[in-house]
Amino acid sequence: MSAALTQGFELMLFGMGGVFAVLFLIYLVCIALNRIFSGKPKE
Amino acid sequence: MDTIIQTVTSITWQQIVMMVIGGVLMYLGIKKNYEPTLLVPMGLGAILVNFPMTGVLTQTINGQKTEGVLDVLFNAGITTELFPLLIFIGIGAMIDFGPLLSNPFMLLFGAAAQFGIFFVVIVALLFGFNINEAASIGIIGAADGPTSIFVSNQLAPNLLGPIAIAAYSYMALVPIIQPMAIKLVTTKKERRIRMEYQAESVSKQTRILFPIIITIIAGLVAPVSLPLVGFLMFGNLLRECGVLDRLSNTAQNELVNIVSILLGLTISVKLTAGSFLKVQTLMIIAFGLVAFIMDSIGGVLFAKFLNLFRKTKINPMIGAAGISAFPMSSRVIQQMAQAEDKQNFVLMYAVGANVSGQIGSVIAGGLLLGFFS
Repeated sequence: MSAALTQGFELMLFGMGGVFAVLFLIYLVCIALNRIFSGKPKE
Repeated sequence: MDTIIQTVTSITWQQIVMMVIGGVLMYLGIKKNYEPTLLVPMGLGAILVNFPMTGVLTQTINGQKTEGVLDVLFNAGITTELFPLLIFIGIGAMIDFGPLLSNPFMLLFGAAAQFGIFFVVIVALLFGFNINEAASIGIIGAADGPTSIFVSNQLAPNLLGPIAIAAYSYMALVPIIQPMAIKLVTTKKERRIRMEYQAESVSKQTRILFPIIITIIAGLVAPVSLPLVGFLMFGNLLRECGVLDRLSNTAQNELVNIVSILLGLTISVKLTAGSFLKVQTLMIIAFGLVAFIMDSIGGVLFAKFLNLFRKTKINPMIGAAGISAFPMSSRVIQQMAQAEDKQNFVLMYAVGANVSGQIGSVIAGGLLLGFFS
């Protein structure tokens, strides 16, 4: 059981860390895209 | 007459219970309008697959093996992952990433609100499920039916039936689950926080490049998630490129409709009495609820954490919108905000968090698969 739990916590760290890392990367991409191809503000 | 007597006498009470469950699923879909596109086909499917001696499932009748039509569909569409992926093209074509692109900060909530997935993995392990099964149960917290089916079919195909039912049922119950979970961890004052929205237009180039770059990032960083992300983004590219409106409309309507019919009916292969009526099923359904609640709580607590460092406060309810159930979750958050303060309009932020939940859930699904590959 403890080995499975350890694996579970590893999965949690890997998963949450991975999701945050990938989405943060996408966040940076969005900022870069908005800077390079800035749209005109809506009236 | 003999055939009727033989059929009636060979039906077990467990099969009758499954037919009643099928009836309940159809009732929820038709009468309560809970995800009818999936629950109605699954409901009738549950009745179909629990009749003995039919050609619906592969069965041996009088020593002769007959291949069932639903098994043929299952092997073609679910085992190969084809149906969930085709649905992703349609979902991608339906999503407008504009609110997210104009407020990319909302992406972080799409990550935080995946917490329920991993929380439930630990809970399921504590209740004796093995790590593959626990991960499959956790993915219910992605609040995304096709992702749940895609992941559980690879990690624990034996649990596919209850997982699909839990995923779709709880998605329909978001308006009940989320307010309860949010109120547990927020004060009235926090729910009244106003967020000024400044509409910024997003350029066409950004909209076109976004799905292409996300596909490349997924391929490099989380390759196992690429089928999910790639098909989702392909659908979005059809929508945004501006020259494929006909294909985009087909993906949003005909493709999704046809595959939904087949998916709902085909999933019912896993709704036979023998594979569904177990204590495990009840546990999976209970854990699915926990996953949805912890998703919402994870998102809200993350927003509250960010507020510790921010001058302009975020309404913490926005964090709960980071789940994949779109657009239901963002609507719920807006309704809750207006229930506290009629002049509070947080919808566009909630929509941004909600579409980032779509991306977050597929990335989480891909990472779960990546962990085991």
